Formats: sequence, C-alpha cells, structure tokens
Amino acid sequence: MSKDNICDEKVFNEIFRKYSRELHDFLYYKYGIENNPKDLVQEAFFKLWDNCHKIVHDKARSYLFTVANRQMLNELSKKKTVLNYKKNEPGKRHTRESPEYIMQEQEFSEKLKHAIEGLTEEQRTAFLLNRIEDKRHKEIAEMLGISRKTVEKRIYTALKKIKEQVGEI
Amino acid sequence: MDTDRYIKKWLEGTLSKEELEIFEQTETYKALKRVSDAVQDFRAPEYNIESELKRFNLQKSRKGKIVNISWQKTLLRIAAILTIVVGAYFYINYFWPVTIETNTAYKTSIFLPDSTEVILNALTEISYQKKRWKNNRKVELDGEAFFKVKKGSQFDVETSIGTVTVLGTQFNVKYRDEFFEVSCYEGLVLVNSTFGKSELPPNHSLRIVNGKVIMGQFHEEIEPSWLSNESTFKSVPFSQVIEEFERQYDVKVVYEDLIMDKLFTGRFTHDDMILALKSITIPHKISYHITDENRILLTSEIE
Repeated sequence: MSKDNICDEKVFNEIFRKYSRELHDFLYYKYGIENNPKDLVQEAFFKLWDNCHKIVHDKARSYLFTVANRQMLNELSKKKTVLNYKKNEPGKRHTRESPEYIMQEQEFSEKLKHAIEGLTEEQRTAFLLNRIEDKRHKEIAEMLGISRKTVEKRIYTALKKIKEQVGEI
Repeated sequence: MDTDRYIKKWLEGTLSKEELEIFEQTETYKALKRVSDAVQDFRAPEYNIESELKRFNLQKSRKGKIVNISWQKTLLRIAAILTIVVGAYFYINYFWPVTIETNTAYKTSIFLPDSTEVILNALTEISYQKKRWKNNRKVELDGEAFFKVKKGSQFDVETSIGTVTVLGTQFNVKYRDEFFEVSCYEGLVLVNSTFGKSELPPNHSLRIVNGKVIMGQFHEEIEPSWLSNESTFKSVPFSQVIEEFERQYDVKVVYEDLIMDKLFTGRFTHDDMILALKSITIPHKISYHITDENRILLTSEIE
C-alpha cells in the first residue's frame, strides 16, 4: 500500500489526528452543542473510511468538510442551536471588580449569547470561526465551500447584528 | 475615516500597524473589542483527539463496515432483479393476450372464456386476454370469423375500422384489407365505427368499403355459408372474390385489370378448385388457365 493511501489505517489515523478537532469545532459553531458535534465528527470520518479507496490523500480534508456541511442538514436544521456558554466564574477573571461590575458583565454575556443564538446558522459559523478560531476569510470560505466575499459579508453582518442587540456598551 | 473599511480590515486582520493605532483610538473599536473578547467564552468545548480516535477505531472494528455493506448490496441487487423477473413473468402472463391464427386453406374453431364459440375462416387472426377476460371483454380480429355467443354474454369485437358490440347473438365479422362487413344472424349487434353507430337486426349486414357505409339484407338462414365450405358474395368487387379464392385454395391468381372492377354475386365451394374456378369465371365470361401447381391466370373473353 502506498504511503498516501487513506485506506491504510496508519495513514487514516494521522488524518483523524490532524483534522478531527478542527472539524469538531466547526461542527460545534455550525450546529451547536445540542447536535452532538463529537458524534457528527465520528459520522464524517466513517463516511471517509467507507469511501477511502475513492478519495486521494490531499482531498480528505475537503471531503470531511463537504460531508459535514451536507450530512446533517435535514435532521438538524430545525433544532434551535444552543451554544455551550461558559459562565464567567467571578473568582477567576474579575477578582478585583465590584459586584456591580460583575453583574453588568454577566448581563452583557447573557445578551451576547442571546444575540449569537439569534444569528442565522451561516452568519454564526463564519463569525465564530473568525473571532474565536482566528480563521481568515479564505480558510472559512474553503470550509464552507462558498466564496471569500460571501464570508466577509456574513461576518460583517453578524457583527452588526450583535452590536445592535447588545446595545450601548 | 471610513469606519466600515476599518472594521472589515480589522476582522480580516489586515490593518497595518499605523491603521491599527488609529483605529484603536475610536469608540467603535472599543465596542467591537468588547464583543470580540466576550465571544471567546463561546469557544468550542474540550475535544480529546486520542480518545475520540480510540472510540472511532473501536466502532470501526465492531461494524466491519465496508465488507458488510457491499455484501448486503449484492444481496439487495439479486433480490431486486428477482423481483423484476418474477414480476415481469406474472405481468406478461396476466396481460399478454392469447392469439389464434389460421393459415390459407384452413379453418378452425375455438371457445372464448365465456364459452362463446368462434369459427375462424382461412388466414384469420384473433386475440383476447384470457386471464383478464372478466374486466377486458374484447376480441381483436383481423380476417373473418363467425361468433356463436352464449346467451347473456357481452363483449366487443375490435377491428381497425369498427367495433362490434355483442349482446347474446350470432354474427359474422369480416375484415380484410379495407373491407369490413358485419352480418347478424340472430339477436342484435351494435356496430361502432368512425362513421357512427348502427344496430343490426337478424339478416342485416353492414359493410364499410372505400370509406362508404352500405347497409344490406341477406337471406342466409342460420349461419354464413363459409361454415359449410362455401363462399357467398353479393355485389362484391371481383378482386375481393379472388382474394378469398386465394385464401381458400392457397394459390396465386393473376388477372387483368379489366376484371377487377366487376361486381360479383354468387358462391364458390372450398372443396373442389376446378368447380370453384368455374363458378366464378363463367358468369363473367372469363377463361382460366392453370399455369403451374399454384398459379392461375384469368383473362377476359370479351375483347
């Protein structure tokens, strides 16, 4: 077997190690915690494994993202996306702040969570990948299989919407 | 300052050092920064690559997926093909019509599923759907046949010129080339064609030839004469008579155009060719000449 044959278990495991976290995070931003991003990752890799003889090594990543983008749309699209929101633990980040300030911060976070969940799936995915994962527009465009320009527009629109919702800061 | 442009560049991380310094002074930036910082709280949860890979490999070995699926697919394919073959067999068996045909110089008799007797004259073909007779009472006919219908039975006899609807009766249908003739011997038949509908009582006939409908009467008693090995004609173009002769004796008759247009009234037997030849030639002053085994030449004696 050639070194690049992804039907080879060693090669396949390397691909899993290389891309599964990225895919997981992507699926989380796209579909939320409710839709078990970990299981979706498993499913996507099973698809890749089943078709391993048809897919060349270089195309594995884009295949995984294509699967991730299509695979679950039917069942998932209707479920409301809920993001896992880490409550700010006052002891950790705001030790010296007054209780009023902490309250304000928490209120802001609640508003922000609400605003993010209110975005369309497309806007949210692009926005969070950009802000949290520091992905460039071009990378996000590749992951979603859309144009760079569209990604830019989605991120910008998402930011505008959020700003409107969280109000004067 | 073009705020929009700055925001877009900031989002993409392409602001130059100087631009960033300017942008950081603005209120917009402070607001954006706050949102952006707070968004970090929404980072995707922990993901342990190694444990997920272990889980994956465990599932994979349990499923044995690839082999299993292709084996099931093969089985499914076989099942699908079997279904189609068996289905097609029953379909054909169910819908394929029964066809009976006679050769030249032969007659035969058959029974339809409702015990109607059909007698087929020479060179005739009929077909019907045996298995679906109850829902599809229809007989297709090309040639000539006599129907002795069982009482209370109803069905249609179809030819490409017209349809005969039967209501417990005896009748003859002749459809040869463009010649169509229905003769009713008993009961009542309904003839339906592009020229309209007509009801035929006993001893009445309807003929469609050259696009014209001709109603007629006849005096034959119980059944058409061809059943007793005789062909009878009443004002029929001579060409038709010769064609019938050819069907009954399996010969080829060659004749002049002059003869073709004559109308013939009379009969000929199916049992004796020379006698039959005489019956059709003498009344019209035609002489015949048998050139070889199955070739007859007719010439008009009048010049």
